[in-house]
Amino acid sequence: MKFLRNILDKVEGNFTGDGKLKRFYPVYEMIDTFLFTPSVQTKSAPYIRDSIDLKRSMVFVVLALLPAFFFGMYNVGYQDSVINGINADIMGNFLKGAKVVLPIYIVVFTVGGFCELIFSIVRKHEINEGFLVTGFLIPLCLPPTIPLWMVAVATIFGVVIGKEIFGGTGYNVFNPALLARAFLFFSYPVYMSGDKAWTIARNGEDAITQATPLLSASSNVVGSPDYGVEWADAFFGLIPGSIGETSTVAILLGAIFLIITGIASFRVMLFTCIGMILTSLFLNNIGSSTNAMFHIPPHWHFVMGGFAFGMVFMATDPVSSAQTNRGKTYYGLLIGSMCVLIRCINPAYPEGMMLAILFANAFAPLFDYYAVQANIKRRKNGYK
Amino acid sequence: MHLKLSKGHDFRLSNHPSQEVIDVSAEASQVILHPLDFPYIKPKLLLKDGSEVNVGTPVFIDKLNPNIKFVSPVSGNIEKIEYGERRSIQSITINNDSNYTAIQETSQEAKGEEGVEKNILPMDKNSWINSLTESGLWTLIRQRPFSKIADPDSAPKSIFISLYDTRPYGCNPELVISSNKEFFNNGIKLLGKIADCPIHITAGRDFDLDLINIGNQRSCNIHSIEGPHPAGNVGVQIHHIDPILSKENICWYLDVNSLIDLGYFFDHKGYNPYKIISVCGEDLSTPNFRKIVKNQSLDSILSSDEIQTKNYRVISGDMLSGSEKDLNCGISNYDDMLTILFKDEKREFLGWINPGFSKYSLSNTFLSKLLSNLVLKTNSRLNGEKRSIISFGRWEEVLPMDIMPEELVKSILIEDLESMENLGIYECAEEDFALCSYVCQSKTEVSQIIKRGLELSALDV
Repeated sequence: MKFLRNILDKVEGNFTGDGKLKRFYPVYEMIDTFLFTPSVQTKSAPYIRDSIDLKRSMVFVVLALLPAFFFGMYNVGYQDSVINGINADIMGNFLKGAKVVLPIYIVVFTVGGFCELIFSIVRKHEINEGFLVTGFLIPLCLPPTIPLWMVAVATIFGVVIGKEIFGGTGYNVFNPALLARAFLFFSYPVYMSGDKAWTIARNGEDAITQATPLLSASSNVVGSPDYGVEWADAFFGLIPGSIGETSTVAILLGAIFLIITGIASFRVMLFTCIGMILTSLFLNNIGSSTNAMFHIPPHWHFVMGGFAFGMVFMATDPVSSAQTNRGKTYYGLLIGSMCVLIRCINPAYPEGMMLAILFANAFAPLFDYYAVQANIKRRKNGYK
Repeated sequence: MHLKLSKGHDFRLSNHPSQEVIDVSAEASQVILHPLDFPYIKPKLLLKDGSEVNVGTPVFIDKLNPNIKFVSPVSGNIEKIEYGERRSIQSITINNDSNYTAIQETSQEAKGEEGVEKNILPMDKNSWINSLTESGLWTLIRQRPFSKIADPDSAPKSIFISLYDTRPYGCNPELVISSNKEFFNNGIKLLGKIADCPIHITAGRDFDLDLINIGNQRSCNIHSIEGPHPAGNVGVQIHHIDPILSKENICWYLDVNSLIDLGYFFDHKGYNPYKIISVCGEDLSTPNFRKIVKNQSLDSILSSDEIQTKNYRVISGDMLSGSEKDLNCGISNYDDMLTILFKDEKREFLGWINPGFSKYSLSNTFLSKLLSNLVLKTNSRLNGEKRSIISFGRWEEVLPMDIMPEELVKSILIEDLESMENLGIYECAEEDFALCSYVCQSKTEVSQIIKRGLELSALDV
C-alpha cells in the first residue's frame, strides 16, 4: 500500500494551494480518503472522537443491500430462463442477470458521479458519501428491461432535483433514489409498470408479457385475488419484479444487519409494518365485491412489490424520514397504511410503496414539528 | 432523592492515575493567568509589568462587574503581560518568589477597619459576600445558565455540588474530600451563609456520607445518583432536580476543590494557593495526583521524560470538555486534571471497511463491540471528516436530558433565539453535549455549537 500512498502524496501538490488542478481537489480528496483514512485531528473539545464516520455508515447500507443485489442479478437471469424454458444452472442465471444489471450500475455511477463532481467543484466542497447509497439503490428499484438512457436521465433527475438543489446530502426533502424512480414512473409508465417491463426475454421485437403478483391480483375483479405464484416463491423472491425488490428474504437479511449496526431505524420499519397490517386487515374486513385487492391479507402485502424493499432501505433514509422518535412512529404508520390504500383503492397504481414513502417524506417535518412542540410544552410546564 | 440515569457512556480506560500525591508546587517558578479562561468577562488590568504582588493581590477585574476580582495565587512580581488580537489579554505571567506572602500581612493598614471586622464573627450575608469578592474567591462560584462566574447581586434558586465524577479519568471526590474534610464542610457552611436557597449535594450510591458533615443546615439536600457519564455533570443534575426554565432561573454550582478553598478561607481568612490535580493519559509513564500551585505553568507540572510519545497534546481538564494548552501556559482555573493525548496521524488503508477489532466506538459497526474489555486509546484523531448533519439518532442516546439536541443545534445554526430558548438552551452547557460530539458520525461540533448558542443568547438582552 506504500506505493499507493507515495503516488497520492506525489500528486497532492497539483490539487492544493495554487496547483494546476486545484479546482479538482474534491476528486483527489475523494480518492485519497477512500483509500486511506484521513489524519485530521480534533480542533476543539471534546478532543476524542468515535471511530465511526459517515463513510463507514454509508458503506454499511451498501453492505446491507448486497444480498438483494446478488439475488436480484440471479433472479433476472432465472426469470428469463423460466420463460424461455431454458434449464440453466445457478451460475448461468446469475451471469445472465449480471449482464443486464451491471450496465445499469455503470450508467448510474458514471452519470451520478459526474453530477456530484460538478456540484462539488462549483460549491467547493468534498464529494459526499451519500451518493454511494443513492446510486446503489436506484438500479435495484428499476425493472430489468429499463433502457439505459432512461437510467441516465433518472439518475440526473434524482441527484440534481432530488438532492443538489436543496444543498446536497443531508438537506434533501425527498429520498433521491425514489425520486429518480418516480420520475421514470410518471414519464415512461410503459417501461416502469404493466406486464411488459419485467423480463428481459423477448419474442422477436416484442417484449414477453409477464405479470407481477401485484398486477395479477389487481386484474381480478371479483372473488379472491389470484397472485399467479406461491407465497413462498414470492417470499424467497423467484417472481418477476424490479431488480432488487423481489426477495423478501434477502431484504430481511439486510434489515437485520442494519438494525444490529444501528444504521437504520428499527422504529420506522416496525411501524411501517404495523401500519400495513392494520390497514390491510381493515380493508379485508370491509371487503368488496368489485375489487379483489381488498381481500389481500397482510402477509401477501409484505412479500409483494416493493413493500419490504421500500420499508427497509427507502423509508429509513435518515435524511428524508422523520427525525424524532415520535415523528418516526407516525411516519412509519403513514407509509404502511398509505401503501396499502394506494395499492387497493387506486386501480391505476398497483404498486403503492414508492408514492407512500414520498408522501410520508413530505409529511415528516410536520410529525417532527408536533414532537418538538410537545417537548417545548413539557419544558414550559416545568417538566411536570 | 435517588436519580438513576441510563443514557451516556463511561469510557473504558487504561493507565489510571495512582493514588499517591506528588508535590510539584516547588517547581512553580512562574504562574500564568489566562483571563480568557473565564467566559463572559471583560478583563481590566489593575497592575503593570514588574508590579509586586502577594497571594491574594487583585491582578485584574471584570469591567462588567468590577466587584469581581481575580487575584494572584503567589507572591512575586509580574514578569510580562501578553496581548492578542484587539488588545485582548492573553496571559499574565507572574514570577513566584516562593514565599507565599499573604496580602493581609503586608497591607493590614491599607485594609484598615475592614481587616479588623473580618475577624469578628458572626458576619452577615453581605459582608461575607463582600469579603469573598475582595479575596478573589468569588470567582469559584459559578452559575447556570451560561457557566459563568455568579453575579454577587443575584439570588440563586438553588446551589448544586456534584460529588459524583463520571468524566474520563475523573477524580475520586471521596479521596479529595477525605484529606480536606474540615475545609470541605466549612465551605458548605460558608455557602449557607451567603445564600438562602436549598443546597443540593449529589453523590454516588456508595459515597461515604460520613464525609459530609452539614450539621443542622436544613437547606442541604443530599441526593444519590447513578448512571454513566455525563450523569456527574452538574448541568444534567440540575435538569433533573431543579430545572432552569428561564434566563432568570439561576443556579449556582461549585466543584469540590472550590469548596475546599472556600473552607480554607472560612478558617484562615486567606487564599489557598495550592490545589491537587490528576495527571493522566495512556502514554504517560507516571499518571498520578500532583499538588500544584494554582495557574502553575504546565511545563513545570509535567516532566518531559514521562510522556512516552513525541507527538502529543496537553489538555487542561478532561478530554471531553477541557481545552488544549501549550506547555508554556498555565493550567486553567477550574480544571483539576491534565490529560495527555496522543496525536495519531497514521493513515490507515481502506479504514472504512476495517472490521475494527481494535477500534473503540459506541456504534455497533465495529467488531470490537464483541470484546467487552477493549480500552479507549487516548488519541485526538477526528476519525473521519466533517459532513452535513445526518440524524442516525445517536446524539439522543448519550444525552440524559429531556432536550432535543438536533433541533436545538439547528436552531443555533440559524441563530433563531426564540427557538433556542424554547428548546432549552439555558439548561445546556457545552460539557453536557460532549458525548454528542463524540458519537456523531458527521463529526458535528455539537459542544461548540451549544457554546455558540449560549453566547448568542447571553448577548440578547
